[in-house]
Amino acid sequence: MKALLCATLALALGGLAPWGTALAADTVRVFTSYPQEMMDRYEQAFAKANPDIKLDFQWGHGGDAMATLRQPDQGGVDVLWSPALKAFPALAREGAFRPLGDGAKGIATKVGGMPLTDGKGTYAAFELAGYGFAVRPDYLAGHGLPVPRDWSDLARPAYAGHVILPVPSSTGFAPPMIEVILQHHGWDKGWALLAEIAANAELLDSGGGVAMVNELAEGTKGIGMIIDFFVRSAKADGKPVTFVYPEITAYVPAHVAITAKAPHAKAAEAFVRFVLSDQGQVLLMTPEVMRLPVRPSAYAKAPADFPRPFEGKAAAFVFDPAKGNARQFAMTALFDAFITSRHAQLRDTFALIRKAEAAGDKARAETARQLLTSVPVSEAECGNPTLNATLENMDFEGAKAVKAGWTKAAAAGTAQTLAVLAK
Amino acid sequence: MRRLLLAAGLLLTAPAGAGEALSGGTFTVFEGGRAAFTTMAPALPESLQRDFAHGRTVFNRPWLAAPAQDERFIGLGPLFNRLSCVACHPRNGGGFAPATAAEPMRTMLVRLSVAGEGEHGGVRPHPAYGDQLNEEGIPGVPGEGRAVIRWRERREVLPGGEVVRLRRPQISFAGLAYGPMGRDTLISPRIAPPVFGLGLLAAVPEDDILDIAAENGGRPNRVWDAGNGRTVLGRFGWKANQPSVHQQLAGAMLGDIGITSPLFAGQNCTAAQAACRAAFPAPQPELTAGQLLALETYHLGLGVPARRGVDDPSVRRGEAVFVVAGCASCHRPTLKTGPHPSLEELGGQVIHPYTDLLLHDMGPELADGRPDFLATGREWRTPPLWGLGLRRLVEPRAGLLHDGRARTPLEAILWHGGAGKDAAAAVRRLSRDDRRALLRFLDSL
Repeated sequence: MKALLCATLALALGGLAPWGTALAADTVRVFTSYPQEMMDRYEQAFAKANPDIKLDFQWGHGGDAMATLRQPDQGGVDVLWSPALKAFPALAREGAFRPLGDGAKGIATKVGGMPLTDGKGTYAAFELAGYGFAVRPDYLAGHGLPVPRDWSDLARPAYAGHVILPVPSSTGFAPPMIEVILQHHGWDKGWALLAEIAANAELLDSGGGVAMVNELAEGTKGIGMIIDFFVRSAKADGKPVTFVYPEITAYVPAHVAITAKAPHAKAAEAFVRFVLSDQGQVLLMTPEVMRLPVRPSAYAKAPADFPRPFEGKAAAFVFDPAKGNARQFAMTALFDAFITSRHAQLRDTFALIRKAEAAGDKARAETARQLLTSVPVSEAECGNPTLNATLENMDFEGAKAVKAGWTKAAAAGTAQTLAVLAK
Repeated sequence: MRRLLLAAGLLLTAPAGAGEALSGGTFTVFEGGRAAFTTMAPALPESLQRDFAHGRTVFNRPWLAAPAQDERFIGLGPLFNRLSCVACHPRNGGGFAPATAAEPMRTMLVRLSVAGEGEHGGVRPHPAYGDQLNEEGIPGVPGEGRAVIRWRERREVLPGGEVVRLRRPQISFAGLAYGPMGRDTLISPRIAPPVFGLGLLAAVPEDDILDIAAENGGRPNRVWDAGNGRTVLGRFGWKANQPSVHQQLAGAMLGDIGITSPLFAGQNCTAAQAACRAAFPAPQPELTAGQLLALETYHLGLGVPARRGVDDPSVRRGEAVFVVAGCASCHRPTLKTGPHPSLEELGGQVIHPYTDLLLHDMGPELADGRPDFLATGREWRTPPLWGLGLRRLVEPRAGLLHDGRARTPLEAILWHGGAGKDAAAAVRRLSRDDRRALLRFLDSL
């Protein structure tokens, strides 16, 4: 043992291994918000394919990505690789990226009618994720409930107490999902539907998709409104959950781009080529990742039951992510005011409305429903850029005042509804 | 050998007890898949489940270098090994050693120190590199260098002709950024251990552990409890150099990710690391008291996977071989928990962790020559074996022994020396069928 230690120490003294530096010749710094397991999977595969390039990850969500890439040296970042729907088009407009080169050849540029990029070639889609329902089939069977087919099913009285709805101000994946409902049903009907779904649901305001899937796996609820990969990955882990795409849904892209000032441009190109290659795209279908490739040829290696977003009816709905991005701060604040702040009252008041309906008092029920679900902010107002700038930081007094006004209006709606029902 | 088999035969007549599959008592979970080590124990009170979920987020979430917008997870580094807890403990399981010199240490690190005792009787950190090599640095702070592992392999032929390849690591360093290590540097490569069941082990009464020590010759480590300012029994870590889950977590946050906490407030920069000391400061402590508490709740509330196949005749036979070969002397099948200071439900449990939480001389081939409190350079704490059969399902490359040299339980057994030498010799003498039965049993844990 002594001999081994001496030999080991001798190697350590000079700071270099006798067989060479064992250090990679080049480095690529990649800014990402992907989960650790996915980063590890890609890091290991990339290292095998490119042993001369050391991959360094810098982690942060879209806001931090934008702040970093807006620094004079772009923070030394070479590649932005992230599901950050707002960051890519905004940074591209500011000239933060350089042309991607040939790595993006063959990558889909649209899903259904929805463009996946701005079409200018400085960033490309890397993967897709779709919205829908995490379902625990045995729970639903035990409660005599059918598997829901569309978002509006979740507002049916039968589902009361069985649904989990994520709060978009505290759940990263939720804002585009809420937008799918608003854009498909229209502003007023969309908010009315959300309010009635909320009345049936538990609101999830922490823990995100993992917490939601765990709650289902523990058997406390039967349906969760969620993005697909959390569920498919949990299913691969043996959890008793499955994912159902509604008739109308949206697939949102994650992207990849090389920064304009990338200090390691060649290594950056190698990374982008790798993640967009067949090999990099097939990795998306592994149990640790479970996201949807954007290179259509990768689906040839997919199992038969793997979703195919470039085929069929689901691709028909044209989701407009830019619209959602532009009003995200207002929409999330409105959700908190219109739904979260009066969640218990929504549940109780919808119960009264349903009772009136069941008793045949349809006119009164209709009036009450209209009052309770009437959203206090118009679509045009919610899209106002100045308002969204105000609501970007909810710690500011101005933002608090706006939200307080909406909360008050929603509470007034509840009071009016109860008055109608009490007559 | 004949005597061994006869003894095994006698033990085989006993049927499996009803509780044998319940490795963690009421903290047992029935997950036999990739989620085996990440599932909340059903016994965790509902009032703590939100904290548990918060702790899970803290465990899985990568940390950001300051300044950053996401204020909850700022303070990475300045020097660090990985961005998150889960990066080293994939799905809460054990880590692995790199296969080649070119592969970085992803779930492994190298502990460093110099000869002599440090504060409170612990190690003396290396003056330039501290007590572990941090390979990474935030932008502007050079990482300390790279640890490179190379393997020397030998073959061993067992009765019946089975060939086992045993590999032994050789560590060197490349690209050291803060000068040479120096002649008196003590180094010890360590893979990350699994992180479930810690609360139950924390609740095993000290007297019971000391009784076992009197019986099997194991030694308790006595280590510094930083929160309470006194020396106490060590229970956690490869050398039992940590007294509690709380301190183990705070220590790993600082050492591995560079995150300060209410328990360890100073950054992990040595005097030689000027850029590290000058790095942009994050709000202190970087891990808040609430986050540390949630992280602890998460670890206390994780379930222990149930055993599988306990009534399988081959597993029963292997269990008897395990006992007769002497493995159970240190890898204690059954312990009872006493009161736990913060989670009442952990108390009064009959558990099957297969450890005694004591230090044992494991012989020269496993020795790292790096003392730690009372642990000598040849001593290691008996690692728990619960969940052993699921480790490679959770992480396909999960290794065994402190440096991950063993890729299978059989390799790990054959490396046992010192106090484990006789048990390893007994296993070497086993017939092929008995050896298979022993491995079936270990796979059932």
